[in-house]
Amino acid sequence: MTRSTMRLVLPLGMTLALALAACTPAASTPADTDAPSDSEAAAPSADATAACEGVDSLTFTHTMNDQESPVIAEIAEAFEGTTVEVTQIPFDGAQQAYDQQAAGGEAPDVFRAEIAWIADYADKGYLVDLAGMIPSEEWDDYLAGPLAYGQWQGGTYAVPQVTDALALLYNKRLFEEAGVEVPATMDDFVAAGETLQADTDVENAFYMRGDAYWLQPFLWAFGGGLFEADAEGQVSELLVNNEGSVAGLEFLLNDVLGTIAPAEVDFPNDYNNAMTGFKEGQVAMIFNGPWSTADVLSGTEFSDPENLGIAVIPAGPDGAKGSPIGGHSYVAYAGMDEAKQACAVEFIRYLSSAENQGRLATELNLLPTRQSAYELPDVQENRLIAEFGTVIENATARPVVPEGGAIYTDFGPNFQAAWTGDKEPQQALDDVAAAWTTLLGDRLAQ
Amino acid sequence: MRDRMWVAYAFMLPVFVVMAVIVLYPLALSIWSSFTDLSRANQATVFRPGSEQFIGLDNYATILTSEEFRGRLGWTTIWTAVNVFFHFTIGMGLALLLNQKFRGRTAYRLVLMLPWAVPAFVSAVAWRYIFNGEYGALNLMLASFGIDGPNWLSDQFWAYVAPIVVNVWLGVPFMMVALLGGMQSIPQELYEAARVDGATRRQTFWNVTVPQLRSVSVAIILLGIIWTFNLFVVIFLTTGGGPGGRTDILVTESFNLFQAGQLAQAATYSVVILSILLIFVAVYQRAFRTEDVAR
Amino acid sequence: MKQPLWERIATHAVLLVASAIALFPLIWVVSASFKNQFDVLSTEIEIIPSEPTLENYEALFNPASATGGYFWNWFGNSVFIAVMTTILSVFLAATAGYALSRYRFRGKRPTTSFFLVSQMFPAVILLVPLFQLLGIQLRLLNTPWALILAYATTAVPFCVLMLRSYFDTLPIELEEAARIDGLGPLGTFWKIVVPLSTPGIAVTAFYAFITAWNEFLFALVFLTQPESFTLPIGVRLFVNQFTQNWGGTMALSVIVTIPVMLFFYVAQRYLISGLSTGGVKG
Repeated sequence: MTRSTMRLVLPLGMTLALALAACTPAASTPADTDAPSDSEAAAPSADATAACEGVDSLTFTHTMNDQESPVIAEIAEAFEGTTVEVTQIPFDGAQQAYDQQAAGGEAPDVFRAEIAWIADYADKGYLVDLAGMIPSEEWDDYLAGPLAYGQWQGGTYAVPQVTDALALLYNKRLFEEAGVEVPATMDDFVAAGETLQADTDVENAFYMRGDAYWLQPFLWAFGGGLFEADAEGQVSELLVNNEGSVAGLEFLLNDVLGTIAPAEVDFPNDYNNAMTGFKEGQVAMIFNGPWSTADVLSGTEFSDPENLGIAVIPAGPDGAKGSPIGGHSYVAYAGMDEAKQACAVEFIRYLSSAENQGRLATELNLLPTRQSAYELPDVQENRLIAEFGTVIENATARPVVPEGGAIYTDFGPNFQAAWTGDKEPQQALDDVAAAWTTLLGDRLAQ
Repeated sequence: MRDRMWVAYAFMLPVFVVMAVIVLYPLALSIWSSFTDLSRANQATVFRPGSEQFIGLDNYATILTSEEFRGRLGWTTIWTAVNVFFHFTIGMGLALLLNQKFRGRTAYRLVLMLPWAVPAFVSAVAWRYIFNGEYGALNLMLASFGIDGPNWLSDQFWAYVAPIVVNVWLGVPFMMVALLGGMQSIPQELYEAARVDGATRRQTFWNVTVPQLRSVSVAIILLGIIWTFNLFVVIFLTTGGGPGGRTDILVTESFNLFQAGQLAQAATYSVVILSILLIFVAVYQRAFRTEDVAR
Repeated sequence: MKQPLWERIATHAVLLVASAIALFPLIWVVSASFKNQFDVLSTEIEIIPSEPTLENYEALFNPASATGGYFWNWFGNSVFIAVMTTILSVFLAATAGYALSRYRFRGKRPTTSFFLVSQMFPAVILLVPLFQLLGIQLRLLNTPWALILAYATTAVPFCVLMLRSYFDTLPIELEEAARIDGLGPLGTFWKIVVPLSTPGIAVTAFYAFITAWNEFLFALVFLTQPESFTLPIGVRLFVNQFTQNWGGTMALSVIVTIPVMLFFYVAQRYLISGLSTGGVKG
């Protein structure tokens, strides 16, 4: 592109962007859906071609699962600015893999990171501060919760891709057969499970995983939690072994497991076994997130998607609810050539455009992180998205600290130890708290 | 020929150089890092220099005095002993049977060698599939007999058994073949002499076969112990160290520490593992007087 | 000496049971590789799938499939790495093994001990520094060379010890004759000893190849991009926390195991004798 053409295009792009900002109020009504999404898709591509001049290619790595992977690959490869090399890596071990690559100067230009990893990477200097590189009107379009996960000590290091939370997935046909309503409290949950097991031929009403992430809803429902941290990442208090948390764990072990869920599961295979059982109607309820819907809908019980029910995870005795908010965001590697950075940012803006977020929503039932995406007609018509939206409204954000991902290293095994009876619940959670005290070190205000 | 030492040095030079660069130097680094608090949070990266600190023997103190370590060492020892015991006894038994002449013995030998030809990670993954608590072949077969099979990979007790089964399946052929080879090189005259002396089969076994197999046995048992003690793949891919870390052996735990970013502690663990093996081998060699191995 | 009937029956019975145990997992793997995603995890035992499918095998080679169709990359990487490790190790080890066999020199015993000790290294002990050295400083992450060098750390000492044991069994007279004829040490080695050592070198090369082919831990850490994976890590891609593609795993396992098995059977006669003259009797 010649310099004179650039001189024409840039102001055009900026004018469009300004026009957008004027047109798009904070909370849009349905009537506004058409104009913003069209021009929003146009502006980035003009900027992209400009910013990517001279860039041969970008590398983009993601951890999306096998059902999601073809869609994101198609989107990424359609980027007009430059060629994109897309790579899928397994989620297991991805946090360490990126860390090691980034430490060594060889990380991919753009990476889809789980939100709990971002503060850690930012703290180590691996990420580009994107705050000034994206117009503020665009930042405003993003939901506050997911956006906050990408912010660390004054910088904004990530652009949210999807947000999620664990929901109660249930089989509507089985609920009807047993005459059971969607449980609102934990006691209802157990009662419903018992009725399901008595009146239908399910083997287990519920199937629990031996993974600490899945334990969290029980902790929050009974008044417990993980820990309290402020905006600067100072941790004021550990909640994981307080009364509420222990009560939650004990409820799970005593009232749920062995009654409405198997007393023992095969830990290495539990995710897959839970999904298989649910998909084939041997299990009536599981906890899982939006990423699993594509897989669930391939099951024999859900050939009619209407049969899949999505509900907020039941509340505890005091009405406390909780489900961990998760999500993934795009980050840009600080070690890439400076000349490529502008292009990488344009690529991220493109991936995260309302239109593309809408695609992920309609094709994979993944929740968008921008208001304008929620206004797309296709997204608004998607029942699963609407229901997951309600789940997220009732979900709990985890505190943002660099150790956010590392806390699960000790959390998981201790949970399993409590499950198998190796340790008493209080002891197991105390051990978790002790491990976190060492892990958080100076971050924990004594 | 024997006093041309410089020739020997010349021949050894390429290996010396390569070993110094890729083994001695990293080994020294590893040992050094075990005296620091190196972790992924303070290691040197392209963005900033490292900020790890020297902490002396702290890592060793923390690890060696922890109850966890003692438990893990205990399980690793049991894991090794049980595996090698079955490898050797079953291998010996099968070798004895195959040492006789009968039709079809070659076919049996080829089939029984199969597990040896299967890569360890394939075996681990296949058995993990078979051991699946809900849908695995083993539990399905037990169910057809009305038995409710346990969760082999996460039950408090059976999670110990499952990887042992996998490793025994993997390891028996090696010992069987080595012992068979050893048996086949026992001179027939010894057996003739025993027969002439009127020895029973049991006496022949204990007085002829076993002594002749001594050097082979001592060597393969030592190899088996070292390999099993350090065997990462089987535990990692079957139980993943679970439930709750119970079935982690020392090497898998040191890898867990590495994954958790605790680089210095991972190095400390591995130095401890190596030291244990060194002490063991020294004792073993003295007990069985196999100095000819280090001739 | 004919055995009594009951003995022969007992022998066959035991061997049959053992064979069944040896074969069963393999049959099950092959069977699962032909099952579709519904049948592969079901509560019915079917050794011969009711609806056999080739989709698992196809997905391995099809770039458009969810798992990326990387089979040829993985296969190629594994072959390249295993072959280069073997060549490098055998070349380096040959002269060293010969020196240990034929010569006495100062430092011989510590050297041999060091080679033995290196066989006892837990993989993790070199993992951190080699990662720093090869991965970060030399930027060899995701390249085959990082693994070739990493594997050489155990392959070279192993080959030295095995070849030394083999050379020990060669009669020294031929070399002495060559010496009298005026051949220098290197000439003797290349022209006399090496040609005679083909079985020993073959067995050593075989073990080195198989060890590199099957290695898991270093590959897991050094390879993070799917197209640079080796076969063991490729298999692991299929079975992780959230996606357990058992059909694909089994199909890949079948393909991985067949060449190894063929290789094994061709070499198995030499293996047994190699074990007795090689590292075993020491």
